[in-house]
Amino acid sequence: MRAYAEFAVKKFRNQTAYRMDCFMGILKTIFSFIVYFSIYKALYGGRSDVDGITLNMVVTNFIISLGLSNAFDFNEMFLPDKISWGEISNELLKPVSFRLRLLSEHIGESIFKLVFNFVPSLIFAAFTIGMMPPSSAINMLLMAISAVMGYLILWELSFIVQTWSFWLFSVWGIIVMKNVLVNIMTGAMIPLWFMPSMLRGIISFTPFESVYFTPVRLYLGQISGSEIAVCMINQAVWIVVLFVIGDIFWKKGTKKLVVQGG
Amino acid sequence: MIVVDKLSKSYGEKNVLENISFHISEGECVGLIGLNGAGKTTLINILLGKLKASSGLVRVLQQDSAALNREALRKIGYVSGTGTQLWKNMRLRYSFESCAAMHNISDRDYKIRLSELCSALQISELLSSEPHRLSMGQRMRCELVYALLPHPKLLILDEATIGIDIAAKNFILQCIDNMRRQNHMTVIYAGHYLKEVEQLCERIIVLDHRAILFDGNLHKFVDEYGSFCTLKLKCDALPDLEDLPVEKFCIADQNIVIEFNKRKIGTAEIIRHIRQKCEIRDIKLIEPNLEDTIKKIYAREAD
Repeated sequence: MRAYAEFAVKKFRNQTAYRMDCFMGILKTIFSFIVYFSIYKALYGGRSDVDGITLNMVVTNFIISLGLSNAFDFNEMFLPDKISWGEISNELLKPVSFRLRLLSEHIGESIFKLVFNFVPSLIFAAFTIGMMPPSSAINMLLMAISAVMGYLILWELSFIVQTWSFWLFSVWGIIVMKNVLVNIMTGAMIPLWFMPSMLRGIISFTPFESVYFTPVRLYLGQISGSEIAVCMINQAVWIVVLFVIGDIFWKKGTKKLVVQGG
Repeated sequence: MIVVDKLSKSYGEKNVLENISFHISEGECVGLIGLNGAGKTTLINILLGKLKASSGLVRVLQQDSAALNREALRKIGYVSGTGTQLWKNMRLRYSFESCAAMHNISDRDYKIRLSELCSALQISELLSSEPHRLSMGQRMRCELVYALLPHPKLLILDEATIGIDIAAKNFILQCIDNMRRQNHMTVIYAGHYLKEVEQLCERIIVLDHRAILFDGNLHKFVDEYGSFCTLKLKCDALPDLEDLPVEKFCIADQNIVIEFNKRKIGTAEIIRHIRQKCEIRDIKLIEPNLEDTIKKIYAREAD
């Protein structure tokens, strides 16, 4: 375990070397807040709510989900690049689990961005755009736990697509498509409240809803009682299911590598 | 340490290795040489479990090489001229620290070993730069430090000294040799040239066309197959070469080319003989290269 903790710490510390990158990242997040805020303000046109959803709720939704998605942004071409350059088999000689190593490094990077991108942008947004406070301290805590699970779901989804590069020449296009899907289906761009009920029904059977929307609803206190447990178990189940799928692709891919060569 | 028995490897229809058998015991240092495409790297990849053999037995550190566990991987150091073990986009220091963490090296040991290796391979001032900023020679030295840091039981070097100048190369081979004696390390050194392995290895395995051509003592190999040298001279007059026991000679203007067998006559003797008659202006001794030697082995087998 010591090694994996080290990987995360290393990545965190390495990240501190890129100050300009960090600064531009904050600007990017704040800029997207302002753009989305302006769009939704214009769409609301002074009305207090649409179907019971206030502008404030929408703003809170995209500040949390866009803020998190910027913090959870990691290099998705890592594995595809390693595979296409034939470096992957060297990585497998390291006496650690490659997947756990990758996850540890991404966690280190994401913690860095949470502290130095999400938090400053959030403070900026709270003072300028204005977002709703968490409905209670417990809700804040639940949202944090749920956001961690959302991160794992997002990571597993990305890992699955990355492993396809064992078979495909380039997965870049697929990754871009996946990210468009993630942006729409997780409610980061358009809150899921506004989705047509049929689409909403479909999305509820996918892992996407659990990524950002569950944390947002927990933050706003929209989920209560036993429903909280249901939502969080739903997230946990998706983590397990996606892990197993990723595992199957990973094992098949590395087996192919050993038989046919890089 | 390593047992290979009747190993064959093919990619589809194409055979890369056929019926390879050898074993290497602990503490041995073996040079693996062969021309391009002889199958050196494939053999090494199979030993490391990066590739799976099509048939045959391959055991490394008492384990099936295709299923080496992490404990075994911790005992193997590997440096390849074409690949990298370092963390890209991260300062070198982090690669070494990660290496220490993966191998459960204590902080105290790590600091001692790192300073030893860094001064030996002269990379102390590079620790804060990223691998892609390094020159080829610098990177290879860093790769070596990374591989040697855990004090491996088995060190596999696959063209590990490309991009390193001769002086540094000799120095590095000296370091590896010292470490080998101290830690009882087994070393496999793959390369193109006999010269490279001479300094480090006593035993060589020569691969050619998918099979082992020679496996045994390096000096025996050189004595048997590598004693034919060529001497190129430039003289101001024509010497008399008729009574020298050389294989062949050829004189054109002032340029003289002499082919001779080292076991029959020494280089010094030839030069002494020529200098009795004339002054030598320029001199060049060409040692046999691997290609010629392999050709000679085939010629002998055909006889």
